[in-house]
Amino acid sequence: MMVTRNRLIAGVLVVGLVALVAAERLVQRAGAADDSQTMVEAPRFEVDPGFPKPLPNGWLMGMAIGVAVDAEDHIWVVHRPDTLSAAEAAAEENPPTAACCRRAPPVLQFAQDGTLISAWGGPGDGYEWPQSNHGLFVDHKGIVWIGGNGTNDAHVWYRLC
Amino acid sequence: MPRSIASCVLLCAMVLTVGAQAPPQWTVDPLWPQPLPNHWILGSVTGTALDADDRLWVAHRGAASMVLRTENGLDATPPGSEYCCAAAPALLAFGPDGALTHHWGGPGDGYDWPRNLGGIAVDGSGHVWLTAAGLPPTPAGRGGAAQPPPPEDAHILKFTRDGKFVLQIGKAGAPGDASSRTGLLRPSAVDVDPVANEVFVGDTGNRRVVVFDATTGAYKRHWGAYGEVPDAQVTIPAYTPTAPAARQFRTISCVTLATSGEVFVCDRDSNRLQVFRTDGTFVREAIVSPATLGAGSTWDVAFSRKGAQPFVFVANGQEQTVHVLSRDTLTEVSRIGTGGRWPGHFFGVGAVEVDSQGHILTGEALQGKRVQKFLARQGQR
Repeated sequence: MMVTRNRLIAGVLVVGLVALVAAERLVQRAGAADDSQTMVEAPRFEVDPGFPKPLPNGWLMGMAIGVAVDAEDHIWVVHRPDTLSAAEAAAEENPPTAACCRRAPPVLQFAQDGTLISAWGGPGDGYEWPQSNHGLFVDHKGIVWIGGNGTNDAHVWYRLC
Repeated sequence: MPRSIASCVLLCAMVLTVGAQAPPQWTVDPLWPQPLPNHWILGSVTGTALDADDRLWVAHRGAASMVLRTENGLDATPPGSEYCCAAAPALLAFGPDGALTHHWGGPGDGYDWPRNLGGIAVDGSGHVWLTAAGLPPTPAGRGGAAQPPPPEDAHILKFTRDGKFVLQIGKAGAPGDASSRTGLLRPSAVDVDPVANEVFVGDTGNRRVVVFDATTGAYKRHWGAYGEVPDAQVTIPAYTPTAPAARQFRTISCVTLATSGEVFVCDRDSNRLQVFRTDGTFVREAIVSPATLGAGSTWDVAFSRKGAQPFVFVANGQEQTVHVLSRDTLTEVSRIGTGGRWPGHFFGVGAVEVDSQGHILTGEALQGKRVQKFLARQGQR
């Protein structure tokens, strides 16, 4: 007797639940139809606190002053290593005042999963590296362009990657 | 902010095994604490303390440690920004869930608000103690904040947890010397012995620990390094790993009582911890990270809270890590964190606490300007 009664109660609950879900679907559909005519929903984003992965070699980033995404969805960053203080880049002091940390090279390339793929940049032969890094773009041929906004910077710099 | 993300990507706190003994491990909670209201942001954190309800109390330097043009534009006249940001009140408390529970601080009647906050402690009755620590070195590189004008910080303050003034010991602009019974000089650390009702002050400008009655503020006793007479006049050369140990404290950045009745003193610029009985008797010392130069290795200490407190945690804002030491030998077992700005990384970590669940909380000074929580693994609490 008790078993039958329990089954009856359960049955009623299940039917009620199905009815509720169906009703909610209907309401949602009606709402969506209305929205499409009257509202534009703003895109929403959530931070990924685990991106990117920690840099190797005790490297730190200075001011991030440019970011770009290339055709392969790699994320390119140019930063300003010289904005890191002596306390931050303590391992580069002479003598080092701590085992950590060092200034990362100014151009960093990350994969979608946050892994560092390449790191390069800085003064060299045959070109004038910007006094103050500013801006970065990867063009349709995969060439990386970098700008500078220092007092003497009057050029853009690029490299085939 | 969905916690699902947090649970998926809880970052490994980069626990480095140094000894053969299996070290305890913690993982950073990247979504702790919750965002502050009113577009408030933290300045350089000078001290943290936990109360009996596991609330984390945070003292920070606020606008004095910020760049008006780029950080706290809402504080400018006229505002230099429309939405963000403003310096948060000097004192903040966060519940275990990361929600802001208290915020207050600033000048008022009957007391000298510090030019520059230092250490903080919460005593057994929930009173909040603060030190007026004076001027830290101006940060190098871009973004260094201007130093505030005199009078010189030379006092400590006691408030209720809601920010009502209770007691001041010492007087701003009227510092005492290393033998004074009433005056202090740039005190930077504080802790309270709830049983003896005594407040312990790291009187760094006078190279001594001073003990006062926590209710009346009456002087009780003081001592210097090794329990000897402090001398603020003698010249001490900068620390090097090979130089003879200094007989005076260089910079006192913590005075922390353990439940064993021991008093740990961080002599930061000497890379050392000195341990005393509460009567000032010298017990032992340990050098932490001897190769560290710059501002030194021992910025703050905390103790694991279960049982016999087997671990000592040492915030090292020069090496950007928290050392985990064996409580008995004061030798390193492991480390938590490394340098950087991403979750679980540090810059200028100068404050560390352990809550009742074994979780670790940290505060970052200089341009670090944040607090973080590292969750204890199940089973090691």
